[in-house]
Amino acid sequence: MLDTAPISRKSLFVPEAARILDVEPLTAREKLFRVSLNDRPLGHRPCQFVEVSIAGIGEAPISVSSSPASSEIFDLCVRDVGTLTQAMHRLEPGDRIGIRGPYGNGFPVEKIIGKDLLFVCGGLGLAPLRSLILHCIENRASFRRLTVLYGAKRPSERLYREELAAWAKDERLDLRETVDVPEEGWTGNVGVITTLFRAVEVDPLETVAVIVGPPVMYKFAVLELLQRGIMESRIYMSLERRMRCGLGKCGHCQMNGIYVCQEGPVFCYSDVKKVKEAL
Amino acid sequence: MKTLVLSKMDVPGLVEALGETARLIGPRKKEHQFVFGQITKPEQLALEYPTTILPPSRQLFPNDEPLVRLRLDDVAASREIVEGEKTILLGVHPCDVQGINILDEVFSDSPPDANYLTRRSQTIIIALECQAPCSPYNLCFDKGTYRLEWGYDLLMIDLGDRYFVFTRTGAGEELIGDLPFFRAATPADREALGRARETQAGSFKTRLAGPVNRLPNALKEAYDDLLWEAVGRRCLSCETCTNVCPTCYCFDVADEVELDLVNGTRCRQWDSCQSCTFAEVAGGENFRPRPSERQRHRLFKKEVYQYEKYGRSACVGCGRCSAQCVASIRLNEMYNQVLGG
Amino acid sequence: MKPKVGVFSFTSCEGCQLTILNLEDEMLDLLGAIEIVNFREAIDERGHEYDVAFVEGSITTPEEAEEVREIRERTKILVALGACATLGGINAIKNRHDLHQVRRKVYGDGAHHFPTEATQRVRDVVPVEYEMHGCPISKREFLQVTKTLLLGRVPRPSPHAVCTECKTAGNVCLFDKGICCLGPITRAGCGAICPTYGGDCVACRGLVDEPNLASMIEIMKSKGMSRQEVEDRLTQFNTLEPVDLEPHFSS
Ligand SMILES: Cc1cc2nc3c(=O)[nH]c(=O)nc-3n(C[C@H](O)[C@H](O)[C@H](O)COP(=O)(O)OP(=O)(O)OC[C@H]3O[C@@H](n4cnc5c(N)ncnc54)[C@H](O)[C@@H]3O)c2cc1C
Ligand code: SF4
Ligand code: SF4
Ligand code: FES
Repeated sequence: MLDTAPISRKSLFVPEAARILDVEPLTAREKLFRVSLNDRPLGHRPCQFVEVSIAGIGEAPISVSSSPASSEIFDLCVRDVGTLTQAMHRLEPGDRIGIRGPYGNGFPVEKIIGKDLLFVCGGLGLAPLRSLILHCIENRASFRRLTVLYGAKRPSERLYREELAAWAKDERLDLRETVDVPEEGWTGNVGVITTLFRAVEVDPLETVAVIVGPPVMYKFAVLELLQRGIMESRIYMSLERRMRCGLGKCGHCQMNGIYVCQEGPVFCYSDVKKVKEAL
Repeated sequence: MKTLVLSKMDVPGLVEALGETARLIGPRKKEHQFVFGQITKPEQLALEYPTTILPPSRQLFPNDEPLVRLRLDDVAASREIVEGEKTILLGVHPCDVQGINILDEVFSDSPPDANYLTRRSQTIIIALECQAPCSPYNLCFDKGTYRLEWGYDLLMIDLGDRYFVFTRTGAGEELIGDLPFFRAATPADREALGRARETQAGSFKTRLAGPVNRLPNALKEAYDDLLWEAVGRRCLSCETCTNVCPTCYCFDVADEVELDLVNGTRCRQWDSCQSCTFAEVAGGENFRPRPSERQRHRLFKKEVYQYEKYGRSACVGCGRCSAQCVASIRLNEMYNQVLGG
Repeated sequence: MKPKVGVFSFTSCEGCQLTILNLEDEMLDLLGAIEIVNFREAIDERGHEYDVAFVEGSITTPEEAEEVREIRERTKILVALGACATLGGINAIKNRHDLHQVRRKVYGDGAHHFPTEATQRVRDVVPVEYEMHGCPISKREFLQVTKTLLLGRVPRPSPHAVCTECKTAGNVCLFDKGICCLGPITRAGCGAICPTYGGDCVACRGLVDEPNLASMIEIMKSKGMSRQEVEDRLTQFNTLEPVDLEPHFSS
């Protein structure tokens, strides 16, 4: 008989109730949900995620998009792609959702203190990265230069547009944007995100880069960063995989032997460059 | 550890006695094969079986296992479902006991899975040693899993007209407590045990072209081998190999709703790395789109990834995946290819 | 207001409707949740609007095509019901032959009174939100899909093969008894009902998303099946998904 007395007998799958305080459409496909747990602050680190659920519909992993400093209320930015996310888009302030987590390793903020930070994000990648960017802005004195490169497919698909406008004027950081396909009124850059690299100045020895974007983006972005002389051990990325449990059990998120839900989603390039299923 | 003897004539009595103390699960005949199922009458028990379709570990990790009771109108009313009842698994072969040991390790790993562990902590295992290999595909001799060192409560070894019985745990001893069917082993029984084990050892054969401890490395060297393409061309992605595996534990989670549209259950279903959508994410990206990559992942998860994480293989050599694959994809043949045999 | 549901029938044996009517135990609950406004008849009353239309049967005449288009206009969600509707099924076997000859064989001299077109799946004529496969459909799946639709989402078909359900049921595999079964390439959802009762799977639920037909054909060949037998088996319900047997049987 297996002696399991010392371990907790509580099921890992029971969600905590959380209330939606506010819903704000960011684009035609993404909505921002301001959420609060009933009994406690979420207590997340940047780039961690939660399993969001709606009873009868299902569960999905969603990044926490807000700063770790204030997690009584936290943000989830959700694109409606399938079962859970579409159902979520129908919810309104006052409605409740289930939350498990936070899960994942989150970003090792202690390792980047005193560095130049270069954030590279594509599309929905801004959702998780925003938690880190906000953390850095709030702790501005701990870092040197803050540069944010953001690429979206179209101007109308840019997330957090008001915030981007504010960042553009903010002295504390340098925001550069590009879109793949321009629309009327767009006066900014056009082209894939790697075109932005050329315009930014980097101090290769002092720069830490963080990449979050769609799967196709990573290879190109890493190549560009390496060419600029940034060290492999200073390139971080958050990787997406299918996730069912977030607990290192269900197997869906495995990337070779690595459980992305526990050991990730944030990885250092030097740790995953030899992991064949990673990039 | 006690050494006891149980006459085969007393097995029906034992079955009845055990059935009164717990849910008794054992091998039963199904058509020309065998399955683990509840034993309510002694004649249902078929202790002399080669192997079963599904392994007994699936009793501890059932398909469609309910995890959370849901109220669609109130998330706060979600309640955990952690179930377990006193269960005896009788007649479990050594490879399958070791399959359960592996699931124990995985589900106890942080964070521990209460659903599995609660069921497990109420389960007593009465193991039964095999006298001969059960199929042309099993690797239990190469893997050393045809014998058993731990993970069981009682172990039975067939001596012809009687079973030699080792007790391993207090729970096992308590179970047979003062049941009248067991007597202490005599020197003659011990001698018979020695002979039985000798015959047993002689009947198993090496099937692999090299030592199993070379497998992790040999597989890694074969990561880009053409073997996977060849296997992938034949594989039907039917998921049988993983569903019948005693150590596979991948799952999916889905909600089931009652017709009142108010009550529901969040359940986990067996899933498989062989399914074509297993590693697909929203946006359509599939991280293992090809059957060849999925087959490679299956073998690597058994022999490389778990070896790196837990210092052991996760293949107990039961042979089920090979025996039941409709496309005749044989694990032993794949292993031999990478071992260079 | 309860969602309005219509059930419509085209060329079929109406067995799928019967499956729904046979849901005695669940019918009361079901009727508590939905309002069935049209059942067992073609749309005659004008002006009905539906939240969900279940459409059974294949489309085999221009009139049927017209009617199903009309249903499509009036419903938010259209569910194709059963193999005739989702695959063409048995009705599509005639597509393998010359349609004039088929007509003459069935109706004799009066054939010209009975127009016939090549059999079409519902999705060949109008967009379909969900295809509920099976011949007939499974009660369980019907209830599950109905519940899911009532919760406001369109379900997705199982990505698994019938073998997975057969394994979870703990069945003895038919291949083990020398019977060739299409379970490995057929879409799950029926609970492996045929293999569970000893019958081989005939793929009435259509094929999985990425069927490895080449391997399946080789397996069938190795079990001694002739080209004709393989073709008959693979097309019994799936005529509209042509398979190329040539590479496997030439020489
Ligand atoms: C660590 C992590 C963090 C994440 N963070 C975020 C985040 O912050 N915001 C966010 O929006 N997403 C995020 N995602 C992605 C998000 O988890 C997925 O979008 C989500 O799981 C989708 O779940 P779903 O139930 O809505 O979709 P599912 O129903 O599971 O659908 C998934 C896929 O199936 C396809 N699909 C859906 N319906 C159908 C249909 N009827 N027929 C055929 N195909 C269909 C979809 O196109 C999609 O590709 C994150 C993922 C991970 C792993
Ligand atoms: S049982 Fe055979 S055909 Fe089926 S998924 Fe496994 S290896 Fe492929
Ligand atoms: S009987 Fe058919 S469905 Fe069942 S496991 Fe065998 S091949 Fe698969
Ligand atoms: S999401 Fe289940 S193991 Fe990582």
